[in-house]
Amino acid sequence: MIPASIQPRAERYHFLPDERVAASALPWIVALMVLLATLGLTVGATLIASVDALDRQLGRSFTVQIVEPDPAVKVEKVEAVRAFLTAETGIGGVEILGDAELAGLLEPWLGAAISDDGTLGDDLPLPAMIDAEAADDVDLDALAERLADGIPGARLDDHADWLAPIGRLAAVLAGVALAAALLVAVATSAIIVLGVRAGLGRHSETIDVLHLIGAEDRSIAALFQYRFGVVALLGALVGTAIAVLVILIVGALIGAVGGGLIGSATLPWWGWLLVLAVPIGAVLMAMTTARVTVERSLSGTL
Amino acid sequence: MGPLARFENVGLRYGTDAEVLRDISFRLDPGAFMFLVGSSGAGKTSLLKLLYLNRRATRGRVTLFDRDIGDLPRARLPELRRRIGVVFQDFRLIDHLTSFDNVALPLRIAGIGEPEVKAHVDELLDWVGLTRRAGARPRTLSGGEQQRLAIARAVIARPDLLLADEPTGNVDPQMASRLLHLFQELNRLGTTVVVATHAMHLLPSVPSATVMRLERGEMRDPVGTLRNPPATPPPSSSPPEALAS
Repeated sequence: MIPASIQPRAERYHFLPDERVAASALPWIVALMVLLATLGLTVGATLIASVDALDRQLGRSFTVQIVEPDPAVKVEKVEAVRAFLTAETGIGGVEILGDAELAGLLEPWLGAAISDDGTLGDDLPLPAMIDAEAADDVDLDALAERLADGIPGARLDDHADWLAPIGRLAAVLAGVALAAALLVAVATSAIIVLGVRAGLGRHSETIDVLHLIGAEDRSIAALFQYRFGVVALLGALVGTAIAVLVILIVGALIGAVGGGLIGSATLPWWGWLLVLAVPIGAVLMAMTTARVTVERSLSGTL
Repeated sequence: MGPLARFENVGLRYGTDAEVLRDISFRLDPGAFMFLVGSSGAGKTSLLKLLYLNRRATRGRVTLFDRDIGDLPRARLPELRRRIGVVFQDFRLIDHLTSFDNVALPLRIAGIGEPEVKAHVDELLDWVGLTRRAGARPRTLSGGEQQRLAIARAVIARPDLLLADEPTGNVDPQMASRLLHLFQELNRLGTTVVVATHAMHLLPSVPSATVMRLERGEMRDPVGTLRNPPATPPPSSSPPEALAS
């Protein structure tokens, strides 16, 4: 029950009859819209945060690949690359991947180890791979050029080739989620407009009398603004509660998946702010829409 | 002081229909009491609509409270309407409100505090004999009670201009006389009164009133004054203090 002291005068004195708007479908429609908008924005925020986290995780690491069929020369080149990287300023964590690690990387595609010693043997020549990490101020493009000039067959891979499409995909999906949330907001506004117009139609005679007695549009608009604000608040609370429940459940399921891109998908702190902003925005939007609709409708009368 | 209302060659039509008022010109001075007479369909209610700002004239010029209504922005109309009390022919009481709340409406719209509202409404309901029906809804009241309620609502805010459309149509002669006396008392206190009626027998009750006769939307005898000699003086009945203050 909302205290009378904070109700607009037109509501406090029942200028228009009380209506059980809360018993109508409108709060449920608002709840559904808030739920959809919240989930849409949550998906977008999670995608952006996950790709951002992946970018931070992989963005400064790189791999040097040496394609050399001659094993002896390959060993020489690996040592040359290690020396080159160690001599460079801002490069650290230089680590040469052994045969067992390379076999492990290929195992998902080729199955268990081919040779008895746990390696792939000599039948399948594999490139040598050296992982390293660069400080933020290191120009990886320039480093790659110097490396290629100094050690033929050595190629620096900073993961940009496969990270960029993922980033683009995430950005597009986040944009789609945002657009969906905006469309939901527009649809909600349209429903509010229809509801307000129906209310104006139902009470047109009373509103006419109120006008003739000297009531101003703004007092009638305040009444509609208040009533639709209450309805939106009710719907927004229900919608947000369901949305938070869904987010927590899905979050727990994603957490159970483990590592990788999916496993790292969690709603960032600013995503939770969005979750809070949606119901507030829904209520403000409903109130504004109601006020503007009433004022526009009444402006057509004398 | 200029006239409270002035009509200059005013015409009114609804939509594309023929004019219901044609070439209406008159002035209404502050403190005047005017009877607007004519048969049904003569245009009395339409003329009142122009006066209580329910319509704008489709031609001519209407000046009210020294403002040209034709040019007045819509947002300025409520402040003028609050200076006008109207007793509608069909009462136009608000069904979901009690008698008390109906009468209190103009004061609440004007933002008057509740203690003052209660005091004034109680007094006025007592005066129109509806104290015991203060909590009743309009639809449970008789025609006469509704009419008295409508009159109470029209006068509660002490309007500068009181317009009454057939205000005595549903009350007995004694109450009609009493209501007319209330209008006279309000008039004596400075309220300009216009009463539209086809009850010609009421005219002698207000010797000082002017009479404007409408026929088929046109004025007849625009400066005519009451011709009938006054009848016996109306019964004495003091208006509520709320209206006298």
